[in-house]
Amino acid sequence: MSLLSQIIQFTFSGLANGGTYILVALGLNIIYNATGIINFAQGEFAVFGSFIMITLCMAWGIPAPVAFPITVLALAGIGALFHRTAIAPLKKPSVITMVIITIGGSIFMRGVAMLIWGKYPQRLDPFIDAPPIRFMDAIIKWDTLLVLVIVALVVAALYWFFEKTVTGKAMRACAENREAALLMGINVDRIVLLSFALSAALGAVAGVVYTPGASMEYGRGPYFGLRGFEVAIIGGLGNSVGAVLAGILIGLFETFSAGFLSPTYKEAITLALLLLVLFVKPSGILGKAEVARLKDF
Amino acid sequence: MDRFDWKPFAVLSVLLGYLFVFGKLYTLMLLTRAGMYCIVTIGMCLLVGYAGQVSIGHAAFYAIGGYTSAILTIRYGVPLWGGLVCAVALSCAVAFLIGIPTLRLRGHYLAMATLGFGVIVYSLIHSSIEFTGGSSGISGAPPLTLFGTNLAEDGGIFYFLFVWINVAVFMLLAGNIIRSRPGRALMSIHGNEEAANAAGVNTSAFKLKVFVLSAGMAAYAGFLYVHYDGFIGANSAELMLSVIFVAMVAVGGMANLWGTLCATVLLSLLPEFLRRTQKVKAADLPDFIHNSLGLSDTQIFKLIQKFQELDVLIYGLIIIVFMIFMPQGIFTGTADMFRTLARRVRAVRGKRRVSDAS
Amino acid sequence: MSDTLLDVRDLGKRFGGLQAVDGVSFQVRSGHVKSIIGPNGAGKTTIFNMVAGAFPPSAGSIMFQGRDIASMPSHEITRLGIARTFQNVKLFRGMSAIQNVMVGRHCRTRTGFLGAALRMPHAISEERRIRAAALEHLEFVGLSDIAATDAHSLAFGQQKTLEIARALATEPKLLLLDEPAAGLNTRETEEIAQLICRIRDTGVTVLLVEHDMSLVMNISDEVMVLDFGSKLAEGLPREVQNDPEVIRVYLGAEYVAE
Repeated sequence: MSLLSQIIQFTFSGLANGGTYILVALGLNIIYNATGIINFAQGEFAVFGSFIMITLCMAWGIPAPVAFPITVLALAGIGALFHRTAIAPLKKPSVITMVIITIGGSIFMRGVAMLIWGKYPQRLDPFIDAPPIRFMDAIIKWDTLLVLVIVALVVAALYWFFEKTVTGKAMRACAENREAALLMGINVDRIVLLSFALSAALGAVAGVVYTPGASMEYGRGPYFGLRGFEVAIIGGLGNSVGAVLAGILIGLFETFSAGFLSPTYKEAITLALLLLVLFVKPSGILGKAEVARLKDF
Repeated sequence: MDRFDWKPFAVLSVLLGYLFVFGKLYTLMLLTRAGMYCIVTIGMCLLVGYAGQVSIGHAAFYAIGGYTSAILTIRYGVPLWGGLVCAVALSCAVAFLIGIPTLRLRGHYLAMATLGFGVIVYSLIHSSIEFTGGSSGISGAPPLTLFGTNLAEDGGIFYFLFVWINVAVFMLLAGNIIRSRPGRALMSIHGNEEAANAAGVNTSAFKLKVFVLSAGMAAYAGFLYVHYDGFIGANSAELMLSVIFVAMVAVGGMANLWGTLCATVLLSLLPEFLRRTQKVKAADLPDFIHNSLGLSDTQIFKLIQKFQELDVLIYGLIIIVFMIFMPQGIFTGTADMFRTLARRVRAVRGKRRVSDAS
Repeated sequence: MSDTLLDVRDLGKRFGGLQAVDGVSFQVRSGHVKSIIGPNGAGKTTIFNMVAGAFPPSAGSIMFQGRDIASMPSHEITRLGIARTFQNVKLFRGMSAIQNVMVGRHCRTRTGFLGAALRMPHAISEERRIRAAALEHLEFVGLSDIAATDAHSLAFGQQKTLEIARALATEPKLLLLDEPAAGLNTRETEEIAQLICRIRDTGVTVLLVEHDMSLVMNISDEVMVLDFGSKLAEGLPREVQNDPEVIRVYLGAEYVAE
């Protein structure tokens, strides 16, 4: 394969991975904006989404276009349940308590996933079972293109939701100033509940989008969570536009470093970038330095 | 409260002495492991419980300690004490490098950074096969000898004693720290970081110091482990172990050294307890279970087997339940429960006496 | 020079698009009580935060005893001799009253991890001195009988006083009090006023932000009025009170009659 076609190949798979990370990061941002906490169980939402999709499609034979919305709804329910059982019971929790609880939640969900779906990887058939596109020497799967379209649609829908709808605006108001939102008569508790549901639904989309033609196993949660966090940090915590840019960047960085540097150390190299960013500019590429220092997280 | 409290130490030594003389070898082995974890969690208690900085990467320091000493002593013939010094020094140096950027920031960037760091270390250990043996690990580390005695001999009863003496010493030192100036500085960071700075505490420096200290202690525990077992594998760096360390501190009641000690012993015995339930044979179960569930022996056997895999789930559940319902921890929480119970009993008795009199 | 403890020049702070403090200059003379007043959002607390080192100014200099302390970390500023309290009390959760004050001794003591862990003789004696000094400060503010109580279970007024004791434990030359009387009743306010006077009498200079006018006018040697981030007036309480500009913008009609 020539260098150029290699580059094309890596770009597409990098973008597809980046799309998944963007969705996880957006989920993290939504909960962060609503509550000021980082949800360590975010990656588990993606794993659950993926597994539910696998069960619906592979075991029950439900066609993917039907199974997809069911999965997303199911995860929204799980997200709401997670908030009601683990987050809401605490009246005035400290940040450290929340961190530990969401870690507990992620471990718990991991245990449940292992119990239900077992320890071994499970496959999901490709969505579009057509021969891949050949462009120069590069092979581009139809699913990759589908993933990019889905991610773009979801991001656009989110933009519309937060900019145009009343609920979305209320959520943004909560993120800006909690007390003021309370005074304005916004039901903050409901907004937080909604944030968890929406965030989990986004996680589901991330998991579903990641899986076709590949496999999923119960221990993948921290991988998604960390990538999502890396993207969220580099984009500036809470900044959604930044997350989209950073997601593309990380996706490309990961595939190119795996392709040109070392596939064995891909994981270490990509995460080293996270530590580097925390070292040099913890506020992210689009964040302001003071925000990172002054916010509670 | 600020004075040295010798009573828990007395209880601990009586307990250990009893186990040393009468305990089964297998029990001692389990408790030796638990003791090693205690050394890690005592350091974690200072970091997470007292200073309020969550790290989810301490298994990595534990692994760094174990692997460093194993590689140096096996491959390069370095003496044991040399392995120990290098293990602790390397771990502290790495913690220092990770800590500088993340601890400058407010809040819990440390949690995510250490999570990432832990995964990096795990994947490095896993992939650099020629150096760490990859997934098959490293075996053949020389056993720890002290005054010419191989501590791991005779089923390791002396190792048990040695590890727990270490635990007692660390408890003493950590207790001294929290009852003095540096300990108060740590608590003030947890209490209110901005106010701590304003009161003259260099919070970044103290966070860094306690992070490095806890990493060093984890490495020491790793060292003790590898020269006890002779073997270390990549699972010693696993994320799950890091989370369990945090769980031990949380279940112990955060800023509570003795609570952490109790929680560490209990939680490290949990997988063993679950494993024992697996040994229960389906036929041993009372008939009504068979009848009421309507399951065959093999089905029940499978169910029991699944039960063993529950440990991950149970750890998660324990963390959530303790954080919500017993944030003061297992130690204080249980004591509180008994106290309320005693008060109720007294109240009931008092009422009875009143009604008797009338 | 010897008489001026704090010399602030052209101090400015921007938060994004908001100019919170704009070119403010003032001096605080040794042994004085100086008050900063002004409507909410005038930039009083922002000035405090910059003097105490919570964040660096965007412009200007802050000279303390002839040293520029702008953009110095706050714990070093505390060691140089500036202590502060907070508008919304910030005590250490989970620590007793005396432990809170003992933290204040941190910057005047030296015991490290090793000394403390091994209970070295110097560590033990220093610990004893810390406790004695903390008790003295608690006595000074009148809280010695609740020394062992958990700080967060104290009454609000006691919490505010405790915060002052913690600040005094750092042995400040300049004490910054951010609305010490806010949320207190008349009797408690009177006690705080007496306490501030007693603090001044021990030779500690006080810089005060306060809304309670009678408190400010009674105990201040000098008053500065801020409005929208800039200095409106400065002078003796009497002068400021009679400044027509100040009356118009801030104090309101009822003070004209007085």
